[in-house]
This record gives sequence, structure tokens and C-alpha cells, in this order.
Amino acid sequence: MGKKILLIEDEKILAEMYKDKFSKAGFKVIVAFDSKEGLALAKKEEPDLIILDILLPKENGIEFLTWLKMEPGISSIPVVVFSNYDDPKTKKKAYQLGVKEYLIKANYTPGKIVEKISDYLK
Amino acid sequence: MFSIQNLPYLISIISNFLLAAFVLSQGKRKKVNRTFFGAVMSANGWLISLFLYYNLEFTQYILWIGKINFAMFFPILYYLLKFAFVFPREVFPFFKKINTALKIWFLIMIILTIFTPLVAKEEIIVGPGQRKTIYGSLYPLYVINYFVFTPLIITILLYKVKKLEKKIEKLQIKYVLTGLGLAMIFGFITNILFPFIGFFDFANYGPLATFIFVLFVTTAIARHRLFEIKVVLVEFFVAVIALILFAQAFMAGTLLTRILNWSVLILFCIFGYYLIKATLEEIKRREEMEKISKELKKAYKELKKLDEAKSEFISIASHQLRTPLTAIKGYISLINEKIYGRPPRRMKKPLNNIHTSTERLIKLVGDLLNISRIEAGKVKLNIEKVKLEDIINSVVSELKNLAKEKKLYLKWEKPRKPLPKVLVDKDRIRQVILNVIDNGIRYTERGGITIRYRKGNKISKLIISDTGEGMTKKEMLNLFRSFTRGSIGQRTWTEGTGLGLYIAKKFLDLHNGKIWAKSPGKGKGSTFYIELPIE
Repeated sequence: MGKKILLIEDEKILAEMYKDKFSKAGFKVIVAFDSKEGLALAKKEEPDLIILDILLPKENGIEFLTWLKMEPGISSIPVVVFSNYDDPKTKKKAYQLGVKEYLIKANYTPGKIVEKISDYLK
Repeated sequence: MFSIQNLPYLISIISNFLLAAFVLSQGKRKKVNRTFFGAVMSANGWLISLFLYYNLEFTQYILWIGKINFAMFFPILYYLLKFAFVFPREVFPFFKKINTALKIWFLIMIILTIFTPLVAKEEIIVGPGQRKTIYGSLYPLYVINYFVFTPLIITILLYKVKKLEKKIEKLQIKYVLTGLGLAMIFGFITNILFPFIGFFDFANYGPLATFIFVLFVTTAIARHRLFEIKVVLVEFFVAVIALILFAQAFMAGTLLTRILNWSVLILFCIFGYYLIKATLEEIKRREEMEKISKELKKAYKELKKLDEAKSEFISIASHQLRTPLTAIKGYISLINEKIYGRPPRRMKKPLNNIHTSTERLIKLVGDLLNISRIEAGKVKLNIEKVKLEDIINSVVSELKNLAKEKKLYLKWEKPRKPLPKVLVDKDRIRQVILNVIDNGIRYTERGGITIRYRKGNKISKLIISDTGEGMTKKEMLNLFRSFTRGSIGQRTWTEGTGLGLYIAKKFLDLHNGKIWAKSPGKGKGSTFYIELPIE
């Protein structure tokens, strides 16, 4: 069984696209459309890595990271931010909250991001 | 009856009345103004009765005048107490309830003082200006009134200084307290300290103490330049000295000294006028400066708000633009990876064109985001010690496919010795090198790009040469400006955003680095130089 990834992404088209690509590459992908659902799924599924969007409906990705830090069981799961929101303050905050990397979606094809995530999970 | 010693009475009574009338004219229906008027009129009543008490020689009236003088103390106390409650505004809701009780109490005291011998039993004229009072049995109660209500007035005012939040209101009360303090000190000096050390004449200036208090309270109520204690003090001292000089001018004996004193008084009045005028002008200028500074601060705050809103708007707008582009880019790459089956051969070119256009748009969005931040001065460098070759390697690996597609070589002539580490913002310097090499690839049709490294004195120099179209001198001049492309670029290549070299220069400026270009002429290629300080 491949590694388990939680993708928190509210854009349905993108979520579908990345899910397809990751699944084809042998990953098990769970998709959440907002932060709350993401946290619930992270607790339930305990994924190997979380791919997190920043601009999400209601609570944003930074809030998700804050909640995650307070959950002892899942706080150590590595998180990679994958967002088109390129704001220096948000980026800084995300790094302070322990994310592995802050990647800009538009710079990556699905193939490239799968390569990048595979490297993390090696 | 009237002598020069009585001049302070006259001055105090008239000035007190004028100031109180002025305050009343400022707000006839305002409780504060009316209460103050009442207090000043009571004080004037006390001054008049005091004046009559010391100057009238009719034995049949002296007891009545003395009693009235004693009784005038109560309306003064009442109005001052009421003033403390209502100035600058009422904060104790219970005042209305005790007001009637206070009125009754003071009325009883007035009746007892005037119509019974319980306070003052007898007044004896000892000599000119010398009187003796024989007190009644209730005189201690009379004194107790003073010791109860005076501290109460001060306590209420002090409490209000603490309690009230507005700066102006605090200041108003401070003025009242200052006036009270100064009047008490003045009264102490003229009527206690000087007589004690043998100067009895100064006791005649005692009534002026009421004027000091009235002047300060008028200033406080009218809010006349309240924040400028300096000008009020200057006005006050000029007035006091002028009054003293005026009194002296009257009292002078010989004609010569009289002329001399009047001249001094006139000269002093002229200088005093200019002194007050100068102080006022200085304060006016300062007030104007403060006003301007306040307006500037406000404008700056608003600008900052706008600026933040603009930054956020740009971040969000570029996010919104990038999202559909990400989907297009992603699906094209998945189609090219044949995830959805093999696309027909004739689709290859259109798919490549979509891919190139999408990449161009993505780059443009990124460039515009960078430029908006550069021009707003919002770029913050994240400086760290990095290996320059790592950055160059990663750029070369990213661009090698682009060069390959155009059948160009991309050569990185890495020196054998490891390159010195540089203190830079890794991402920004990567962007600089990427933009320059990318630019070279775009403007070269045959041959390729070569990257070399040279170490200078405390600098690292990257030399990026291409075998492209080269540039004219005029083109070189405009090379690092935004939306400028070489004329060849305009003719042959249109996919450049025209922002890459401009951004590269701006990022290098932030690193105290340099960028420049040389070209031997058209068709002879170009060479770009990037210089970075090593430490």
C-alpha cells in the first residue's frame, strides 16, 4: 500500500486533478475541502503528509496549522503548503508554524509536485 | 474715604466683575458659567463689605457691615462647592439631591450670622482702618464651615482630575486648582508673611488674590489657550506688574517721581504688549505646526491602510489569476503525459502553444506581483549564507529543456575550486540568474548560452554570454527599465514580459549588487554581468 496523503484544497477542479495524479503514482489520497474537515480527517486517517492550501472557505490554512499544533497525536505530521497565495507575511507565519515548504501551485505541474512529495516521503 | 491703599480693592472688584460678566456672556444658560458668576459676585460682595468695614467710621452701621461681611462667606462657599460639582461637567448624580440641603444649610448660617449675635456679637472701631470683633458662641461653627467645605471643594476637583478622561477637562480643572493655589500663596504672602516680618502695607494687596483666582478660572471656562500655560502666565504677570506700577504711579509723591513712574508704566505696558504678542505668535506657529503634524499623521495612517489594502488586493488578485492557470497548466501536462490516452499527432503543436502561452501568463502574473512589491518598497530580503553554484545548478537544470527545445546549448563552465559562499536572499538571486539566462535563450536563435564565474576583490561575478542578436547602444540604455524590449525582441520575439531584467536589477540593487550588459553590435551576441558582494 502506498503512502497516505491528505490534500486540503477547496478548488474542486484542482483537487480532482492532483488526486488523479497522486493516485496514478500509487499514493492513497484523501481530500478535504476546508480546514475543519481537514483536521477531522487528519485525526481519523493519520496521513503520512498533508498538502495544504492557504485560502480556504471560513478558516484559512494558517488557522489549520495552529489547530494541528495543538493536537498531540497528529501534530508531527509533515505539512507542505501548496497555494497560489504568495504573501510574504503568510509565508513567514506558515514557516513559523513548522511547514516543510511553501510552494506556489502555478510553478508546478502535477507531475512535478508528485516528484517533490515523493522525495519528502522517501 | 478713598485712599491709594484702597486701589487694590477697586481693581479687584472691577476686574472680577468684568471677567465674570465675560464668562456669563459666553453662556448665559450654562450652569458652569452661571455658578461662576454667582461665586464672583459673592466674592465681590465680600470685598465691598470688607472695604466698607475698614473705611466707614459710623459706629451705628459697623456691626451690620461686619455681620454682612461674615455672612458673605457662605454664598462664596456655596457657589464654589456647586462650581466644583458642575465644572467642567457633573459626574456625581447625587448633587441635585444635596443641592437643596446645602442651600438650606447656608441660608440658616446667613440668617444666624446677620440677625443674631451668635457669630459676631460686637464690632468695635479701634482707629482708622483698625477694627475689633467680639465673637459670639456659635463662632466655632462658623469656622468649622471653612474647615469642612474648603477641603471638600479641593477633594472633588482632585477626584475629577483623576476620573475625567478628556485631556481638555483635566486641564480645565488643573487651571482652577492652580488659580486656587496661586491665590492662596499670594494671600499668604501679602496678609500673613509680610505683616509677620513687619511690612504691613502689603496687606492692602490682599484682595488681588481673588483676582488671580478669577482670572485662572475664567481662562479655564472660556478654554482660552488652555493648553498654553506659558501665555496665560505671561498675561498674568504682565497684568500684575502693570497693576503694581499703576498703584505706584498713583502713590508717588513728587511730580518728578510721578512723571517717572508713569513713564515706566507706559513703557512697561508697551513692552508687555509686545511680549504677549510675541508669545502668542510663537504659540500660534507651534499650534499650526502641531496641526500640520496631526494632519500628516492622519494622512500617513490612511495611506498605510490603503497601501495594505492594495498589497492584499494584489496578492489575492494574483492568486485568483493563478488558480485557473494552474488548472490549464496541470491538465496540459497530464495530456502530454498521456494520462488520458495518446493525443492525436496533429494536437501536439496546439497543445505546445497552449502550454507556452500559459507559462507566459504565469510568469507575467509573478513578475507583476514582484514589481508591485518592489515599487511599494515591500520586498524584505531573507538573507542567508548560500553556495552560489547550488543556485546556478538549479537554474540550469530548470532551463535546460527550454534551451533544448530551441536546439541551443546551455553551458555552465563551473570553476574547479568551489565558489565562495554569498550572503543573499536565495530565492531572489535565483530569480535574477533565471531571468537573465531565460532572456538569453529567448533572444538567441542559433548557438547557445555560456555561464562563467570570476572572483574579484570581495565580489563574485557571473558572466552570461549568448550568441543571440545582440543590441544597439540605445537598446542597452533602456535594457533594465520595465516593459522595454530590444528592437530585435520586438520584431522577432514577443513572448517576453519585458519585466525580467527590470526585476533582476531591482533585486540586485537590494543586495548592493550590480548588473550590466555589453554587446559588440547587432548579430554579435550579448554578455550580461552580475556582480554580488561576497560578504
